[in-house]
Amino acid sequence: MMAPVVKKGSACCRLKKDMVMAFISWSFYVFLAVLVIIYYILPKHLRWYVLLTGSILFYAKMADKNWGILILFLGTAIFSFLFAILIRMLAGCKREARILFGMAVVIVILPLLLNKEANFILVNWMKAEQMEMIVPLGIAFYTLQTISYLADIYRGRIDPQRNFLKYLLFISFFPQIVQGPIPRYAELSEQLYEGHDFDETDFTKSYMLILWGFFLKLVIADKAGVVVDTLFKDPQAYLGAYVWLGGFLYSIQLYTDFLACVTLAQGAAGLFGVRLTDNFNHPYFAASVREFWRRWHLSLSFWLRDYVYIPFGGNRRGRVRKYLNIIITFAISGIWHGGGYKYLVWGLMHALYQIFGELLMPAKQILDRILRLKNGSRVRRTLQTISTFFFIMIAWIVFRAESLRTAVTMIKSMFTVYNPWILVNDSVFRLGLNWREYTLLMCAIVCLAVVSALQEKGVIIRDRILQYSIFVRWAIYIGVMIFIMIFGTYGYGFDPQAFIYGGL
Amino acid sequence: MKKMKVFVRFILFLMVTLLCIGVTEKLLTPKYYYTDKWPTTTTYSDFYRLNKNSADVLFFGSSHAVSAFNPQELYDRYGITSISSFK
Repeated sequence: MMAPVVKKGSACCRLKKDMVMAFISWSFYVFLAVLVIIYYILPKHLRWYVLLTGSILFYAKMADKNWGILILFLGTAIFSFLFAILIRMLAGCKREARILFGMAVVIVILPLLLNKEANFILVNWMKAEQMEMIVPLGIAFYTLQTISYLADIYRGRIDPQRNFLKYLLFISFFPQIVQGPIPRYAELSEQLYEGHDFDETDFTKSYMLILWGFFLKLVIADKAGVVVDTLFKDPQAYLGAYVWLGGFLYSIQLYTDFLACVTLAQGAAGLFGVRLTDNFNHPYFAASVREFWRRWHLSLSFWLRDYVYIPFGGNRRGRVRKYLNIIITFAISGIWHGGGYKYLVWGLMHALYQIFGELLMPAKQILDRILRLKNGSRVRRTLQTISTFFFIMIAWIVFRAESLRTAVTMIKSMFTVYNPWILVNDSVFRLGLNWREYTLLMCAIVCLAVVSALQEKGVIIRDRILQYSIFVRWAIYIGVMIFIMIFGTYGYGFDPQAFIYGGL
Repeated sequence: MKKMKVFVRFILFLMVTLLCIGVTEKLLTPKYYYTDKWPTTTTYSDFYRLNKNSADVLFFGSSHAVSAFNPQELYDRYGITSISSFK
């Protein structure tokens, strides 16, 4: 199942843009509405067929008549379906099952590796010309999903699905195929197949999630994206304080963009009564990089923990081995995010942050004593949160910059180029947003921070809204919709339909 | 009965939403979009739709005319009603 290579200028060029249009186009919501109506009209035991048909149609539409993509996707599905059954049949013979499982993982992961790394290796190591690849929708996500399915069967945690169509639905469920969350078979499968009753409260809550997703995407992420694009496109011209601004806004943009996509996916799935797991838990409130990874992209973190870190021995085999495992895990995370040195370096940075964080613990304790900071005090926690955000921001600059070299120049300039006045004269208004839009963006970010802080305290805002009378609720729903319509970022030059992570 | 209630509420919500969005859109649409969805080259057509004797001045010329004269500004400062069109 090698990733077929297609010639330049073919459909795949258009594809990358089209395939991420998914969640904020009108046509998607018309499609969703039709599916929802049919879903609740049909008898319960037939309802999963609606989800399957929807997923296939969605995938076919995204593939845009590029048969290579469909064949590759279906191939992966058929292959992993059959291998899962075979692995179960060989459960008695440990050695054979292990070999079979190893083979299956290699074959499933090959298209993803080719997709991410082939061009990088061709251009940088072999000095050859770049190839145009087909990029199946959500390949980075469904590959991990398939591997976790195979691994769980190999370990005897779940039974393989014997109905291919049901398995296909699990692999292709349309709300989560674009950007996850990466589901586990045990968590998701039954929800998909059982058929749910219509529940007005759940339905309304899902609708609110969709509104919140739109707010995050159009009012925050895409607005911040305008400035970020300008700053990162011309790194020679924008140094010093500009990099601080760019780093900060990119950290916000990436988070809200990804959170938006997952929130929209949860909302869309929730309309059918399917609950997708949370993928974020307010990552920028983390007080250490280690904690950050327990709050950021949870489904990936858990996946790496369960299928890479722990199988390699986790932290049970001594300190050196533990650090090595952290490095391996984060190197894999880096490679998964994209081809090129910068992603690898980004992953390794996170590994080193954690290792140094642990090694420097005695030094930190001395510092605490000098500054008279008590363990668990609010000041200490705030300082830690700010410094953690700073380190993560530096890593995001590497993630976003055109190349590793550019990233180094940019980061160096943060400390060597002194130009803080650009933040107070009108220089920042020449980066694509005027002062009104900046004000709006800052207010929206504050709103996000307040909402996150409330959620952190256990307040579920959607439940609060549901307690109000129908007039207040409707006013809120409609008010939010109109607010997003007016203050969202669209128009010439903006492409609000492209989610950052979706291209992976 | 309960299902019927939910259904009615749903339809009602949809109607109220569409109404609100419609009104907002009408308020926020640039006024030269009123008569034409593609007003770039046809702003002169508004001239023929004016009520009789409602404008004191007509600016008419190339695109420079429509870009140079702002009837709102003229009205705010001097109380002169005007229309700016081009072809």
